[in-house]
Amino acid sequence: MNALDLNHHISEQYNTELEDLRNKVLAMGGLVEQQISDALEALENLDGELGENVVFTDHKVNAMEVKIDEQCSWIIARRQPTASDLRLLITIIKVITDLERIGDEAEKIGHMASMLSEMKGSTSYSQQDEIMYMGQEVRQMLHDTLDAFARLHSKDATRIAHRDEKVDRQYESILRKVMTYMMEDPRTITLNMNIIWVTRALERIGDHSKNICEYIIYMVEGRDVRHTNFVGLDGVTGREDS
Amino acid sequence: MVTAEELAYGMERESVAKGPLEIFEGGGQVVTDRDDRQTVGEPFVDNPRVSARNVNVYYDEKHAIHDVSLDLGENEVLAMIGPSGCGKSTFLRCLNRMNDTVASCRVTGKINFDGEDINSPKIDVVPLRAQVGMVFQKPNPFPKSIYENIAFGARIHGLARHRYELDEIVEGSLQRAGLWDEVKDRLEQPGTGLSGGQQQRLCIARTIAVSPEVILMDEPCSALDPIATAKIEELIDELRKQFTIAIVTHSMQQAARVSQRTAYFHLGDLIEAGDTKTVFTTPRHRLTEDYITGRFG
Repeated sequence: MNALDLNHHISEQYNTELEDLRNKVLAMGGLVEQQISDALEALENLDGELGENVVFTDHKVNAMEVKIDEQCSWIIARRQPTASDLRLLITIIKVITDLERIGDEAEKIGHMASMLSEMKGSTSYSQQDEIMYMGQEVRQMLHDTLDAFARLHSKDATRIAHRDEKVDRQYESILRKVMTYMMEDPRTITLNMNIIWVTRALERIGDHSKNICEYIIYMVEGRDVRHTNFVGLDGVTGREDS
Repeated sequence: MVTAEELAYGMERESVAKGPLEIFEGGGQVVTDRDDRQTVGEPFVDNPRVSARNVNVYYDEKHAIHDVSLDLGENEVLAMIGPSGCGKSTFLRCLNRMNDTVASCRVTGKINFDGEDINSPKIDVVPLRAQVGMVFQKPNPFPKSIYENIAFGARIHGLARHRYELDEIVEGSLQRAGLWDEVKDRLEQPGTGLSGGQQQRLCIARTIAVSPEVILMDEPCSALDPIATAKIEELIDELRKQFTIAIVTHSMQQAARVSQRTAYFHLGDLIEAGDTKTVFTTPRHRLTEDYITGRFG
């Protein structure tokens, strides 16, 4: 049986308010996802203009965060939500914070892409393929996370959260290789530092997506799984990426 | 509202969000179906002050309360909530046999208080009602002076032999009810001359003057303004240190504020009981969830 049922309040207006709020979160998620895609594309093609565009668009994400936050506080003041409604609002307030930070990370990547594009003679850089692979991985992770949010699906959220471990491993692997390059040829340090920042930003996006997954589990099941090595209901761990 | 541009980003998922929500299959926090009327949660405590077992109440042929088993723990506030006619007040009135005053009412089951079943014919209801005091929805001071309102019960229960003892009881009770400073200069004036909130606190003082162990409150704040309500709620929290309190309230926020445990009644069934925190954040029965979030089933 579904723990969350956003409709059927006696107050029709309340239903509308919650639904509108949820749609806004999904819209914000969509915007952030787009930001990541653009940033990755800019990085892949070393497209400085597109990179700058990502930086420029970040204010939209910020504005949506503020707007949704405001709407949440108004609903809390007006409706004094309890149980699943309360969990939904708490979750939304937390989700949008993480979404906004993901937006910031995308902005950083966009900025790095434009810096890399300006670097003399750099049509490609070390580890480009690996970074793109990792980038697609975190983008997909966020995409699936937002789907789990839309579907109120805590089992999926459990599986997705565990994908963060893979992202962490990729981060470490790239870091090790980039460090070798820097030791081999100190002239590449500036370039490689930028690459480290990009990888770090991607790794953080994975962390934020994982946080969102944890909030989804809280929203649906009422269990707080933060800072635990959680397993899902019926022992779903998602470790095998099954 | 969401702007067109924002919508474009969220469009794909929005259609997902609007689709059927019953996809989730895991055993989330809400586990019990609407049709299941077994009590869920934790209706019992380790060292109960009052313990009711299989209580049924009938008004003539009408079966008003079905097999309710519930404990009142020592020094706790138990809030009973539920829609009108769910039996919460009827159950509360069982706890000091106030239902005896309703001719058509019949109560079965056991209610243990101090090791004895209060429904047993051996029990004298007059001392029982002193030990299990009651505060009603509408303040109902006696048409006597403020002093006499408090002194009356203490006198008939023989709690004071001398005038100075009576004075002490009156002052102590008014102080514990947070009313002393407001009325100490006019103890001889009629109790009915006080404001609604003061009258209600006078009634609470009157209840505690006879040294009860349990206090039952039937919507004690529903006739009061928010300030008087806040004072009574503050008082309830203070009184909890000495007494065990059961409160029936229509205000869920009040139940959440004043109680440690909450019991939810629905059409004569005890649906869920447990920690107030659990009941209000992660209720285990769908009916509780529906009620506290303002949904219709």
